[in-house]
Amino acid sequence: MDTEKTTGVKEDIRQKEIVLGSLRQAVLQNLDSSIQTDQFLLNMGPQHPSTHGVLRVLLDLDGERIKRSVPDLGYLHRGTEKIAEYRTYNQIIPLTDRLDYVSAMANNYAFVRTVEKLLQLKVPERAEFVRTIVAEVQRIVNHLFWLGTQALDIGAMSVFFYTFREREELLDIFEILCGARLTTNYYRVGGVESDIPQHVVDRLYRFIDAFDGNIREYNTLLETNRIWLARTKNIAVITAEDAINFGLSGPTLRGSGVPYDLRKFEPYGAYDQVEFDVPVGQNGDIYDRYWIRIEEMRQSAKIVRQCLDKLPSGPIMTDDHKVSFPEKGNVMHNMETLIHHFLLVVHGFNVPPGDTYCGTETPKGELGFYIVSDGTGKPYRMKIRAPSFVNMGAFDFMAKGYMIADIITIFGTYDIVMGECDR
Amino acid sequence: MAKVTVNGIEVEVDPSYTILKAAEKAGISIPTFCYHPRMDPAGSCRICAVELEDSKRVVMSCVTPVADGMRVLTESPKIHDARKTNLELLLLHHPLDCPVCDCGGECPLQNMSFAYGATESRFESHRNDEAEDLKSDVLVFNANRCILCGKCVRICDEIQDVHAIGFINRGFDTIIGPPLGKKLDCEFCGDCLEVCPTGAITDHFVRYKFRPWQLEQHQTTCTYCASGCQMQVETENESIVRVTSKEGLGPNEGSICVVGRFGFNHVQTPQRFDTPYMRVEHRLVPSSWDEVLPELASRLNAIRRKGTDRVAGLLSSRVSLEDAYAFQTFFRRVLRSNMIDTGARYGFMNAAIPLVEATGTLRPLVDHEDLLKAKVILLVGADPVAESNITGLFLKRAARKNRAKLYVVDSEAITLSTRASDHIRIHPGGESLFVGVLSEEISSRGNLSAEWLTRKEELFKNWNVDPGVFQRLVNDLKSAETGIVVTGRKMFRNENASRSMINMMRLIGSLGWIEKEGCGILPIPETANDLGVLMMGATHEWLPGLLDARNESSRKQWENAWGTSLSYGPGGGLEQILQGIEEGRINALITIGENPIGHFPPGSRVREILGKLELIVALDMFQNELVDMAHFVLPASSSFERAGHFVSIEGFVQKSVSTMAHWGESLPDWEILEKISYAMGNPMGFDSSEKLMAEIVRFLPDLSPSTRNGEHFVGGTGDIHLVKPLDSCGFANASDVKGVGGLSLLKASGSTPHKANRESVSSRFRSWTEMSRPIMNATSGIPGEGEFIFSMSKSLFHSGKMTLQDPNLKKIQPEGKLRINRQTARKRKIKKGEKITLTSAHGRCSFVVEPSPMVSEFELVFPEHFADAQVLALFPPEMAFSPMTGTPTTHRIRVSLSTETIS
Amino acid sequence: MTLKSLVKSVLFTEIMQGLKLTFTHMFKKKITVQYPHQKLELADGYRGFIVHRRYENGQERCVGCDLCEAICPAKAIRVVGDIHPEFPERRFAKEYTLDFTRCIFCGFCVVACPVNALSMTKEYAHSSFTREGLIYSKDQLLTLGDKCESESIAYLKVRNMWGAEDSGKDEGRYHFPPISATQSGG
Repeated sequence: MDTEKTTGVKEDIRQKEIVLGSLRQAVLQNLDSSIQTDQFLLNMGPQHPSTHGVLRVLLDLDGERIKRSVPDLGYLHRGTEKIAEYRTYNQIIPLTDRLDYVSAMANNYAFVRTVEKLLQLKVPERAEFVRTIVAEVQRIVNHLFWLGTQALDIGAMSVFFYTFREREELLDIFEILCGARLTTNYYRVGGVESDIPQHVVDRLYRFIDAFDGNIREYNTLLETNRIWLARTKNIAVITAEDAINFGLSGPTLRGSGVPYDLRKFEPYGAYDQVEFDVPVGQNGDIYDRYWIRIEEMRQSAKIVRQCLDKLPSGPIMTDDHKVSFPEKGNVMHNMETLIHHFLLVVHGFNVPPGDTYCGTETPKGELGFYIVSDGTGKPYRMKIRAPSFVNMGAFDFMAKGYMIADIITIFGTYDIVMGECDR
Repeated sequence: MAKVTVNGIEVEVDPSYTILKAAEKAGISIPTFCYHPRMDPAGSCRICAVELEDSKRVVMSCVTPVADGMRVLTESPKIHDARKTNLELLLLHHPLDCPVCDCGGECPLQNMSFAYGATESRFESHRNDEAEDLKSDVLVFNANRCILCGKCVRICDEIQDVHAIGFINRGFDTIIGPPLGKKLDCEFCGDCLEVCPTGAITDHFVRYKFRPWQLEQHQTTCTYCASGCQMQVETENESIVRVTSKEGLGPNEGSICVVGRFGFNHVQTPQRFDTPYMRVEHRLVPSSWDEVLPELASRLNAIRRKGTDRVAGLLSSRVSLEDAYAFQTFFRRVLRSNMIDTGARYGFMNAAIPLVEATGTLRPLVDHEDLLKAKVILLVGADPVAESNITGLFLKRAARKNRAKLYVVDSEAITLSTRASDHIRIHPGGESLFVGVLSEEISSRGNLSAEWLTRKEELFKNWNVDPGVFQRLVNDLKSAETGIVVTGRKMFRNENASRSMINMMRLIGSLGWIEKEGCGILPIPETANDLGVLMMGATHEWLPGLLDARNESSRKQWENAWGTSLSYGPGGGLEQILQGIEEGRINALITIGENPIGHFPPGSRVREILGKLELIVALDMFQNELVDMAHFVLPASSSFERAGHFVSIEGFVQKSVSTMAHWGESLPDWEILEKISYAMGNPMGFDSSEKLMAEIVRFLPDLSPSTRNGEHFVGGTGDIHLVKPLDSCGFANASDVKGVGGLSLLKASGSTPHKANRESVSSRFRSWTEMSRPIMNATSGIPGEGEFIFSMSKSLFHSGKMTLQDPNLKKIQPEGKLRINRQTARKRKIKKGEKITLTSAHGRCSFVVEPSPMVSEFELVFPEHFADAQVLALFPPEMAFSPMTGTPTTHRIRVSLSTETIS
Repeated sequence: MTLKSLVKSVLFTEIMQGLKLTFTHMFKKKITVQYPHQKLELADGYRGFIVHRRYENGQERCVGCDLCEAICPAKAIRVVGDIHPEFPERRFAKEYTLDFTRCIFCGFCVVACPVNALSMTKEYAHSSFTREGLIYSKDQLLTLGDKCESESIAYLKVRNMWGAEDSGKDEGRYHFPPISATQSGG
């Protein structure tokens, strides 16, 4: 296993060297010729305000046109997958917060779903609804964040303030729910950490009522803005076929007209009990993907409203205390409860041997966890299929031929977050 | 054979099997609390319930014997309900103290409840509220947590035969503890601690200081006595927290004694040397390896150039095979000296030399398994429980469970006397006479010469030995199907020890036990690696492989093996070394964990003799008299810090692994010698202990590592024994290793690689010339009126003088007390804890008294570990050595007793 | 291009609409606050700095059970247990250090604590010039706990962990009693 890993890394480095070597070759050739030609090697990042984290890209330029681009990942690598092998399943949940740190709830959800799939654990109905509500709120938060920063990157300053106004409101709700705004650690294997109180339900209703108007405000600023159009229309175009071949997912894929959405394809949570549409684009350019995200926010609001309407009463955690922490109040009163609490803290719950993959539709695309269990309380191996990472694979293809200024918008259109990309 | 179906799997088992054992054979494990593979079932915990498919009855699998055609279900809704309810009931009285209980996290009760129990109790609870029993320094009893499985009581009775704890009260008030609410006073083996499935018995030494999930486990070999116990050293941040054992693991099958379990803390006390010291202007100053080594090397080189046998070496017999091999290589190859000796010289050598002469090997003819099969066991001059605790356990089992006839011949009552069919009480030091008479009686087939007849009569008359008992012993020995003689320290430390050992060999020779499988003699070595250091040739008599060091052809063999020429001198042992130093023929002394001053009386001039040396190098862990004189003090690692192999009493070569970080700058002994040899410009070329061991095995393939029960098995039945080599040593295949000239004298038999090869032993024995020649013994002296014989014994709670530094063991046995016969004490109005003074012809010393019913009225016994210069002052100052084996011969002294104290 | 769109593009209508939107917001209520002069009210149950709690009589609750150390995903907590110097039957934390440079404020330690000795507060802006300054000892955590007692109680209530205190049953406390409850003087 280890040797395979190292050979993989070695191979990776070799590939990178080949690419860099050929670039260098190209530069040297240029130097040799007596006339200065138009090829230029540019190093962008890793410290760059608009790379959304620490991403380094090597650009091979022909004037201002991009001939080739090589993303260099790994500046934010924290070894999450390896750390996970030494943590109990519960301890991994806060680690997943730090993957895509602008939508921590979605990561939590993807992880606990995978573990539940391994355990074949049934989650109470109310918990499923709460999970769906929170996941969709997180989607809105994520898209608001994306819209604000994408506009900011292109030069539209005001949109940022409007989107963050709504985002703050939603983060306040997260704060009430779980005590933190970004690193939420809210989902648990078997349910969620705390119940959604009535005043939060009311706040959500109020928010959704006003949200459509808010979206119209953003659109007023962008929809027909000529600069926005010029910077997004027909930029980074990818056909449906290419998008599928690159393994893209999320709005990046749907922008090319592929209606692939896990919420529809393999409904989980309460998605099979609500009505919503999956928006798809036509041209596969940045503008289409912008529209998809705007439309997804509307659909998310629709899902949240339906879920709030249908929200059943009942427990929010599974009553199987071989998996979930027993109620704290009983711990020091009941011997069995104390034992279960103690062992869950110390050794965690044992997951039956086996392996599984489970994909979840997060705001950025399909976030999948592959977990191999050897029957103990800690995963033997955990692999994260991060949408940002996979989408980044198409970067060279999608950036080819565009202007150097478009690089920023192309990053933006993936909604890339390096925490997830480098893991 | 009975056919049983367990969960649909059909197995054929002996009809005596229980359902539990049958299920185990089918590969199905059934949860248990009170079941223990080495003990009789109790059926008290009701967790091992199984369902009989035909009658739909729920029975306890650990106590129900199988019947032909039985169909058993180990998992079914009914069984689950039964277990669940049982667990709920067990937890009904359990206090809510998992968070503060030391067992939390490794608690079978917790695990079982998590696996099978309910998540919430349906019953109203009644929590117990007994106060904890904190009286003992070793174990804490918490009756509240107890589930009354009785495992601790049973292991104390059935395995340890100590009966120190029991059930107190009846019904709901039943608790477990030492009788009458007294402070626990037992062998402190800690087996009850090990088997307790809850936190009812916990370790007082590390109470509240650790959590099981923080600890790292290392399986290693105990290096205190020669039992060769496999134990688990558990460490946190590379320092040792506790020692545990695993059920069924190793030759000890999961039992370890007090020293092994609790005696680990001295290696992490601040008194230990953590850096090399060098004497500068009469003072020892801390230094570094870089400074010490060149200085030491140049001084050694200067002495070496003067000729052969100029440097003497003394090696402790507690070091590993690797250290011993490096030690003799360093002296013979680098220093050209054969003036080397080991700690075995003080006692075990008396057995080793006759054994090698008679049988050609030091490997035992019999092992612990044979003890269990033996019909007659004769125990002469040994207290196995104290000297080799596991041998003691096997003897207890043989006598108690297997009904072997055990004859104990000793001057005092020992632990095993209670299990003996007859205890022959001889006079102190009378072992040699007894063995002489017995061997003559047997080998002459009753036709004793007149001289021996008078000895025999003297024996019966003076010692008040019942002739009938003696005759019974003779008859039993003669008619025994299988018989074993066990002997030990008291025998080796007899004035006529080597002669008695020859008589002993005659005895078993004339009984025909040399040829007979399962019969023979089992001498108990005094320290962990007595056998190993001798096999490695760390004495002047032998080269590695027990080849005669003075024999030209065997020297040639090793010259060929090493590819160098060996030009050491005739050499000598302890006696010759001391002589040589006095006469100025020896200029330097290197000691490894040995302190000759501590073994001789203060008036014996050893100190002055050693003072004549130009150079003393001491490799040690703690300060002692020799260190105070040494020119160089080099910090040696303890056996917890380094890897090495040890030869156990049964002949297993077992690995002890490194469990903690090296203390300060300390290094293993072999590495220190290697560094010195490198600095001297003549490196031996050993760069790791693995390579060193590989070289040993290349030359002496018989020493390939081996052990019993090397693989741990969960819930095993105790009758699975795997003899397989430890594979962790990285040795080459056995097929491509060749012994030195094919003449290694360590020959083992093929199927049991730890035991001696009986064929080669018997062929050697037939040509043994001493066999036909009776050896006369001196009669032992009987003390006169008002006189006693003062002798020293090994204590169960200590091992050598090293463990006196151990904080844990010091709590268990803080000081040496003089044991005196209880009646005598009462007659003389001496009470426990009083001070008395003993006066011998050579000196006087005062002791704290402990009256004991075990000691004979002629004897006063003191633990040797506490024998300091004041105690040794009782012994005569002139040093006497045995002419045959070169061992010091004075071990007992006549003393008179007075109640006045000396200031 | 139609005439309408031509007019639109010449007159920058879409830009004008945007400007109009921002202009109208000048007359709406401000949503920003002037931090640090003005601070937002945090929700009860905010996962801020971790503190140690005491019983009503001032006795520390922590029994040194190491469960928080076991569950901490960032290995920020270190507990060294020992026998209580005054009461040989009690376990206590001889050393308790919480490294806030490592802490990820996940709140699991509070979940793990069986005696509710830990809680979280709304403190979030502790800073230090050295790393050591953010490694808190048990005494520091207790002092912080005294300061933020009401917040820590609110946290436990919001997070459904207060049950142990309010249930009225005395059983749990019986086995880890405040010292004065069983021993006079304490």
